[in-house]
Amino acid sequence: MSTETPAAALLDPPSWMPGVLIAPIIGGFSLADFLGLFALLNFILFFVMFEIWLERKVAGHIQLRRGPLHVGPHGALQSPADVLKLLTKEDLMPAIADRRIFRIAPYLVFVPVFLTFLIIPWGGLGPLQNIVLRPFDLALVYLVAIPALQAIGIVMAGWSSGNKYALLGSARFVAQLISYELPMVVSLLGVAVMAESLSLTRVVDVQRETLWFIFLQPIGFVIFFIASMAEMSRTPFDIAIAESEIVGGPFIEYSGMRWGIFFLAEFAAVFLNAALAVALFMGGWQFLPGLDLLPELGVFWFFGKTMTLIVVIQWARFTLPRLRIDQLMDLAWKALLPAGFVNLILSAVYQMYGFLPFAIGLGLTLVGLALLLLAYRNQRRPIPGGIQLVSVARPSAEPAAMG
Amino acid sequence: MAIDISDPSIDTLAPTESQIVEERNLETVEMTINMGPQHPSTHGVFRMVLALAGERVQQVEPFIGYLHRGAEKLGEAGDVEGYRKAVIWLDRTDYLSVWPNEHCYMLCLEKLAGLQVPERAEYIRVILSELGRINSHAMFYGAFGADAGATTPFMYAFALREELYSLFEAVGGQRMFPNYFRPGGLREDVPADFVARVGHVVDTGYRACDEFDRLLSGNEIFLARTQGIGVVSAERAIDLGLSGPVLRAAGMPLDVRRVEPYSLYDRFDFDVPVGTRGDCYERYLIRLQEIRQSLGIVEQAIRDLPAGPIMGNAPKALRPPKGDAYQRIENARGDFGVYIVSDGRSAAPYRVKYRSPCFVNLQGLNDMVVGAYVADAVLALGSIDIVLGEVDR
Repeated sequence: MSTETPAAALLDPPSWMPGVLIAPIIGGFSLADFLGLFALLNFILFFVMFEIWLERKVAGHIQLRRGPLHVGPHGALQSPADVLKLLTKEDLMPAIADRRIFRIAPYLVFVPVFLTFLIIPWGGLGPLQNIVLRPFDLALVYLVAIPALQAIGIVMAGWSSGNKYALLGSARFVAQLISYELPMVVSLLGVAVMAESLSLTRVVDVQRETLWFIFLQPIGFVIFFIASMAEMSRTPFDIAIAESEIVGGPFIEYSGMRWGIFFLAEFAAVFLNAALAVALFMGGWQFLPGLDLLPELGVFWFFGKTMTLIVVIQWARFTLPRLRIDQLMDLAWKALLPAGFVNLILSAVYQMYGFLPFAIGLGLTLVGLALLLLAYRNQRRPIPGGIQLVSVARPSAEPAAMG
Repeated sequence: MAIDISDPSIDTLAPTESQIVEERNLETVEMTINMGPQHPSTHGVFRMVLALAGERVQQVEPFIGYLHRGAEKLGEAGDVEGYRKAVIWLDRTDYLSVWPNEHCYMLCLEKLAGLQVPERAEYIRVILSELGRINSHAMFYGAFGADAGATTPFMYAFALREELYSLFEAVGGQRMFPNYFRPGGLREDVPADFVARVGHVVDTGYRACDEFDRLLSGNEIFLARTQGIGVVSAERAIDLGLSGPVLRAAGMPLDVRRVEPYSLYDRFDFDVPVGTRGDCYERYLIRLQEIRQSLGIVEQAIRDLPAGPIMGNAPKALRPPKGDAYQRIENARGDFGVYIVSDGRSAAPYRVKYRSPCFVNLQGLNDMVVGAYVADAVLALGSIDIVLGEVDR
């Protein structure tokens, strides 16, 4: 197997593509580029509809219900119906809203998520090898920088709504995003050190040659996964939306399709982060660790793993309560960030001293972390005092037995 | 109220005082935020105005009365229903603790009119009252989970609630507002398969309790969110007149069913769960434990349920002698009381007054909320387990 899978797709279009497609038309972008973007956008829209349906099904089955059932077989057409509903709803705007900013905000939340999809290495499909819309060499830097732009959109939404809940929510969102950016970057650094590259395509290739990074960097994976869940403000980190506290946060005043675009962005972000986790830690389009079964169907392997992670994210959403803002910050700064640095050091050990010292170090670290977690639980677990059953003597009858 | 920035209890990322003066006299101001009456976690139409410094609550001011319907006054205007009309309105105050409240009203009225209740009727009343308590606590579990941000507990609670309401419907013909107890007995006898159905509900209840525990009680996030939050000490709770699980969580084993037994409660074995710290988590645990204790009482009651009449010697048109009576019971929220005054002439009570445990327990809100985070305020309010219909009456 070659070490450098050619990053094919649209940057270096295959020879069978007609010239009219690949000739640059505007600013170096060819028609094929625009077609690719258009296809990607539509794909995301349809995938998000599917994902919402899936989430409602997962929620239903977790919650002793069955989820949507009536529109289409097993409610499969529920999401299109909802989109139709959102499209026909009145686009309400508060009287004191800053109108222009209020209107722009949803798009500024969605666009960064969409842009990040450009760097995802989808894998091969038939003759096309390794589909990537833009195989940047600095993909890891890009994927840290671009999604963070969402914060601007959220702040605009929160501020322009003229609602205090929205303002509180956007403040929470930004605080959360900035805090979790750090652990995320540190976990990505571990990946970068181990892969000796900042290119996602290269990261996947290194995993195919060695071992999936989820096994080499379990700490990094956990940090990345938690941090990405926090960045997209999903339960248990949904303090920025927090229905029961600030009633939807920045989105409180939005209705109709503008509200829908926020949720499009949220669900697209779930998809994006699951896909990134697969590319960074779970071997991208490789079938199983060390087994390159049918690379022509790489896209399907990639999606299989992505869907699994999406279901895990949904599972967490419908099982866990929400953290409080200070606990959220504690987790980022006091737990994830130090653990991330340990992970980074381990990656450096791997590069400098080879596999064996690294494996020993990783084993020791995992044992240490497990002990720390146990200590934390023990400190919290035996609920001091706790409740006890008291037999209060019945005034008239004989004393009751202890329960 | 200005914020003292040097106060270490306000840990914001706000700049220091000198920076503030330098930077265009930027000022940290308190934010007043209005929660309710339309808010997902005010459990109805409660409204509180919070003064926030960052995310910390500096001040809380509750507003009540949005659901005031004059339930007590309406209860005095009995026409055809006479003394029973108040019950119809009483059902609609605390719509989750309906059975114990009806029980209390009937006990009070029977005390006033000197009526005898057949033993079978009293057993059935106890069974239904305890099932009503379980229903209310299950709803607390669901709502508290939702307050903490978990969506699933609500559905788990509703599964149990559905079982209970099906039973209530079979017994009283109505799911929420049965209006089933009568002065001197019951409206009609229970269905023939009552004992079997209650047995089934008890089994479901024990299983549901275990499920509740597995889903939420040991969850690290839930523990971190609820332990040490909304603390009210025992002395303070007594001073404020709090009762029910809120008081017992603070360490006072005060349960009206034990300290002042009414109905048949001196015949049953059950324990009173008591906490030590009086935080949200202990209130939650106590309610779960009370579900189990209530299931135990129901088990004992269906075991001993005697045959016999379900109606005593009550006259059709009840005219109690001139006088008054007060009866207190332990309902799902605390020490509930009914006070009835009769003028001896009319067919309706001269005066009806309810001692509402929610209304009194709400007085603890200030102690629980001030100094905490907004998110804690929501949980503290949830842990009091108010029903606005009863607070406002």
